[in-house]
Amino acid sequence: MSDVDDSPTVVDRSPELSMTAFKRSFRTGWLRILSVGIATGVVGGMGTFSYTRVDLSPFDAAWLPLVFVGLAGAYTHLLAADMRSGTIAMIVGFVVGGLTNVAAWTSPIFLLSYSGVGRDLALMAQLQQSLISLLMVYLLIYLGGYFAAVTISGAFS
Amino acid sequence: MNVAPGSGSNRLVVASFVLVFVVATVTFGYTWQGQMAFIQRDDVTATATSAEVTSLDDGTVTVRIRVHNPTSKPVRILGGSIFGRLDGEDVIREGTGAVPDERVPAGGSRTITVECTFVDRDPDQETIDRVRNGDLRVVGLLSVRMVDKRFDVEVSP
Repeated sequence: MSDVDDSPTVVDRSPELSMTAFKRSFRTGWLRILSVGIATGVVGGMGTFSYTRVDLSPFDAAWLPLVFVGLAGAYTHLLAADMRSGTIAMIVGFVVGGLTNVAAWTSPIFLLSYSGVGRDLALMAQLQQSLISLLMVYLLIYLGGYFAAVTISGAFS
Repeated sequence: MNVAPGSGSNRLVVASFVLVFVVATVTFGYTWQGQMAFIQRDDVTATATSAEVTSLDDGTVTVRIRVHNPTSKPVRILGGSIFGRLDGEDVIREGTGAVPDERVPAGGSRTITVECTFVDRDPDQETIDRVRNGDLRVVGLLSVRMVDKRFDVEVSP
């Protein structure tokens, strides 16, 4: 809480003055960076999984989940307060997306009753799939979406 | 078009991202559920329940196969090859287009009827009697599809 909020003399508070630390952080600070990074990263990680397993997705068009991944990268820049916080949000999003993808691939192994060597083998197979999709899809498309948004906004600024 | 950083304050940008987030999440949920079911595809079983000589003139034997699908996604039977063996020798096999196109719901079972014919057009009486006695060992493979992914299910006697 700021001094202004605790001050008893201010009766008619303007929205700007009564803004809590939480709200201010959400507008320009770390909270904004983290929420943008986490939200776009989760979309990117989920989209990468849906693309790699497109035979099990509701779409016939294989490229459609790729659009989510590219958009996730672009929104990291668009939703950030400024260029610098956008780059930090992108790093956060990149890591979060990678973890989301690994979790998506490996979670069925933990949820199903695998045990012993069978579980280790299944886990390795899923991790391998995850790693390939991260290198071949996520790295290119997520960063591609981000850099496209940065380049276009820079050119028109 | 405002694509500068900070356009995140733009309600339209935020609203469109929320839309992307929701669509990506729904797609992911469906795909992940499919992956969960596909990992359990070995639990889909096909068991031959009966083999009856239906016509001696045509040399047809009707085989019934019970397909059980305990997974969370329905599977569709696309075709397959069915053999009936006596002492390891093929006595009957499925007729052309004899394996019916059937959908087995998630967590359900269906019994399919496959019209088979004697491999030897003029089977001897001993063979016919043994088939009538239920000595026939029915084996084979069913080709099935889960969402858009294909796999084979072994028919067990």
